[in-house]
Amino acid sequence: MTVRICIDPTSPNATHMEIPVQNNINIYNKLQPTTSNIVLGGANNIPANYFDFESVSLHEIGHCLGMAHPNLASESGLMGDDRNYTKSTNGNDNTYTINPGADVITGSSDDIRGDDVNLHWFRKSNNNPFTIANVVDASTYSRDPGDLPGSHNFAANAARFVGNLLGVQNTEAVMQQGTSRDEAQRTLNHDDVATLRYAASGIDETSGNADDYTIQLEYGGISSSNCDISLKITTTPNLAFCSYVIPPTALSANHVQMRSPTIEFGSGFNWFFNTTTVNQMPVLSTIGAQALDEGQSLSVPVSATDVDGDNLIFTAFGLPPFATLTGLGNGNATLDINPGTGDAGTYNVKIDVDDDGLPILGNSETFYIIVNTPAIDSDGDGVDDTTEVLNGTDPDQVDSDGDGLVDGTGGIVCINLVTGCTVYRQLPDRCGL
Amino acid sequence: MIKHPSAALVLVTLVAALCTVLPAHAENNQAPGLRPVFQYSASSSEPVIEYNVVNHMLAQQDPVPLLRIYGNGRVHVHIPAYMKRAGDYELTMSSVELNELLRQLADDGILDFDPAAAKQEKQQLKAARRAASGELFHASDASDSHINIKLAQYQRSAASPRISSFSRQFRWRNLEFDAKNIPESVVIRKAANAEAILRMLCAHPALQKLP
Repeated sequence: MTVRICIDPTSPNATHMEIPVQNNINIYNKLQPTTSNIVLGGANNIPANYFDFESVSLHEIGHCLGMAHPNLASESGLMGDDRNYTKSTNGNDNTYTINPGADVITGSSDDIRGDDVNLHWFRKSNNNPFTIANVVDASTYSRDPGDLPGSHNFAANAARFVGNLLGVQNTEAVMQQGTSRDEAQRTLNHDDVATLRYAASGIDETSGNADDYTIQLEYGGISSSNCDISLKITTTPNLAFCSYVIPPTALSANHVQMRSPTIEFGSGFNWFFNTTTVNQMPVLSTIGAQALDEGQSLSVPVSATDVDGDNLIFTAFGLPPFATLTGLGNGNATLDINPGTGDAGTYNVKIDVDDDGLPILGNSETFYIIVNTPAIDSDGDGVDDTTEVLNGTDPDQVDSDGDGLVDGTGGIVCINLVTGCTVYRQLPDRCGL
Repeated sequence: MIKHPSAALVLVTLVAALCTVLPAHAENNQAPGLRPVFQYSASSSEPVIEYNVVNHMLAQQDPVPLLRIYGNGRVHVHIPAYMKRAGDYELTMSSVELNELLRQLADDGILDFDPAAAKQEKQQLKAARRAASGELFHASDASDSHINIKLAQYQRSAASPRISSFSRQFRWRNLEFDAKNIPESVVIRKAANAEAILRMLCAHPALQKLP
């Protein structure tokens, strides 16, 4: 399932929203559970008294993908820390029963919740929302308290204080309601990932069969065309919210579709727009200058790596006609250089490597291809004619050591010994001196 | 009447704002005998009108209300540090302007708001829409609008009883969203208009930032 996410062209700060939204898309597409996803104060790049647009947007996109708050949140009508109890109904007595249990931590496994009916999927094996099962479906996750580990009273949710209790610091589900100024929460927690993966196990809530699906988010740009989720900054008094319509026909008893999701952010708030991309640029191995003679051939390996594992595309600019760049896949390419007669010269060439991430990032190197006219060595002694003329030897007579003394008869190589300013010559009689 | 150099500007702008926000109010003009009567203390310690928005997404909400209007005409606007134009601002209203604002809030139903009836109407309208189109609409991460009115005496009209020590606490969740999505509800729509007026007052150009 492809979900196309757009920024409303009429929104203020539309261009500033691009990198944060693209980062959100990368994060949801990777579906990677993380810990330490709460970054506060000086450890983040958010100014004091600003809300991180990227973090709030990650939360609201989660709503627009169908995720609710794992905690009771404000919709319960409760206040303060009581909102951190795990999502439930208020039971037959129409009143939330809230008791934090012996650990005095709201939302943890020992909460005493009376007749409140749990609505949160927990991992059957450990009721620990800071872990995730390999297979996420009804075989490993449940809402039934009967599936809780023996000593547990209620489903735990991934609130940060529950994380502390379980030995996981500075970690919270993105879908936990509540954000603070100067707080970054830009990556998903195990519970966020598990919830999306549980939904993706399909109506039968069993993974590995035909009704499974995957969600791929796609960036639609600053556009109003073909958008599934649209984001805009408006005059709403709310910090942010996702609104959507639930069509009349449910997929099944516990499964509904959503339609027309829209996210609004309040224009009155101080928003920080992150400019650092989640996507990392590829690294291109050094190529360097390439020199060869007319008539020679050179095959230059070109390679690049990308920590995101993105596909890499090589492009050459300024290539002379006798050179070609061929992509080989897996971050490799070959630059073949085959200059002919008359191609001598210096060519300024640039090779780009681009990834296919969001945004597309690239790296490049500019270098020279130097094609020389081949040296002429009329007597075939390995010393080119130009050098022989400079040495004062005859280009047509062999001077196999290039020392300026033509070889003598019978294969004698005359050697020019230089010590200080004195020149000694060996075998002057046989070296024609 | 409290004198203030900006009073005329405030009144003109406020009346213009009311006309802009709620053109339907022109039809609601009542005959003089039917106009509501407000009495309030000229004290500067207790607000006659108080307005605030509680945002559910905020883990730490600034507890100071956005807007407080006192009986002596002092209008105090507090914009939290995490918002644009952060700081404290003031202007002074005349008693005529304050009465006009109270009359507007009364016309919008804030002073006589019946939350139970309004919620019931909302549920009925949502149910009717569900029956007609089958659709439900929902918004995550709400905000609550709070409008508090405190008067020494309030009389809705000449035919209504005079209420002493009148206090009304208006609370509604996602008021603007509901007004947009349940336009059939006059009660909600008018309450949203009242909130819009108070929000406009919070951004009034005559406000002076306090040091």
